Amino acid sequence: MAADVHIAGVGSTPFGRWPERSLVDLATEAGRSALDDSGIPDDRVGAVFVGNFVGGILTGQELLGPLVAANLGLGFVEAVKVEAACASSAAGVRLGTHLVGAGVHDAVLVVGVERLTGAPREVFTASMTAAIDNEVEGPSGMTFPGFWALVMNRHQHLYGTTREQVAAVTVKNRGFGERNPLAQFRSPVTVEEVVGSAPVADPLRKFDCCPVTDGAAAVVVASPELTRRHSSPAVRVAGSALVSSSPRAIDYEDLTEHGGTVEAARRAYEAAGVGPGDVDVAELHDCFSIAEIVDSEDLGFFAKGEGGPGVVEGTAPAVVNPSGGLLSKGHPTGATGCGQIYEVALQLRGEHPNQVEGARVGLTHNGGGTSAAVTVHVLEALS
Amino acid sequence: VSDFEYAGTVSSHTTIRVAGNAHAHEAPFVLLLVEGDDGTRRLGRYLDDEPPALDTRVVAREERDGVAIFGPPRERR
Repeated sequence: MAADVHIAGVGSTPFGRWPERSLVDLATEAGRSALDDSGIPDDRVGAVFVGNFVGGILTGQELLGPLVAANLGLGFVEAVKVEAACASSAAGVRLGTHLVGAGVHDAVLVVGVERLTGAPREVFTASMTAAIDNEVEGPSGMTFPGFWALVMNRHQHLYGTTREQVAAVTVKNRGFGERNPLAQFRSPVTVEEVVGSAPVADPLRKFDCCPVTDGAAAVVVASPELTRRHSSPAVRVAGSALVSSSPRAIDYEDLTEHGGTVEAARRAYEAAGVGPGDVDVAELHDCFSIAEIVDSEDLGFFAKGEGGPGVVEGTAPAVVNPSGGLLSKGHPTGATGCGQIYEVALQLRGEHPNQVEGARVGLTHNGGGTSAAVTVHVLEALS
Repeated sequence: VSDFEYAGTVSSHTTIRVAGNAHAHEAPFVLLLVEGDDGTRRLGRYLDDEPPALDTRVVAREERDGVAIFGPPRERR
């Protein structure tokens, strides 16, 4: 980034099942909440990015950028949709940091939104496979649970990671979700319940998988000058990276190491001047329980192969997914990246329902497809 | 169906029990990720219900709709 950039304000709807609400309605609520939280006047917003994955397929609604901008009364701004599968809105935040850092705009609103419920099952399943290479791997019957099941089997084979260690991720995150008012699942589960839940793609079970979720979240990316003038409850974007990587399972030399995450983390840590041991709180892309273990290793919280025992023993340097993560808070695909930044911003402001005491450095990790589009943001407290 | 031969070792496997709409009628089915002897990787189906162990050898001698169909190495199908 050319200059310092802040997250000036954040907003979110609850994550859950809202089939009666429209994409634009959800996005507008989250966007207004973030703008109000920032205290920055609407007329300082120069661009609106709306992160969304499958809204066009499931609801038939496109043109989300102009629709959300108009509903928020933002006038003649630059407004477009950003799509990077499950990393759509975090990719929008990355673009926003470019524009603000370069001095193109003083403030950019990024909204993530998805409405996954309410569509017929066959339409929903078809929409999710839109992020699989449908020429190369689609004909085999590959699914996203299937991809992460391949990862889990290999991880277990190479490192002896146990079924119970992987289930412990869900147990931990469902425990955090109990206290997050925005979470879709607010009840605990046991290791036995995870292992005994319905099989989806061996060895993954139902409770290893994130739920189907509707929701929206938003962040205001702004210059430090603007956040000071309006006394925004800001946090600093210390590092921001968006990396494209392996869009197919066959691209992986080693299924247990996701190069996109490794490289995005390297870039974000370098920009921030920190390392994994400096991170106090992290929101990682736990779309499946095994994903949190692999991501934690690739972000440097554990050596490769030590993530399974580390979850059980709680030895990560950072508190991981205190929002409940995707497994408990939910995964409204296009909204998840902004939702993670919402959670970490609250942590750094000291306002989170699962507050990590003294949190100064936070990290978000958001992955699209087969970890094919990966964002990592490192955020720092200002006060 | 086309004839060809592709051999390698099993990098990983899964049994898909909840499939996408296009393949729902085929579930459950076994998917293999195979490291080929020629240095390429392929995703394909396994003929049997029980997947082979990781790092064991498999061979595909046919493709169906572009998908390699794997079996044990000595098996002629």
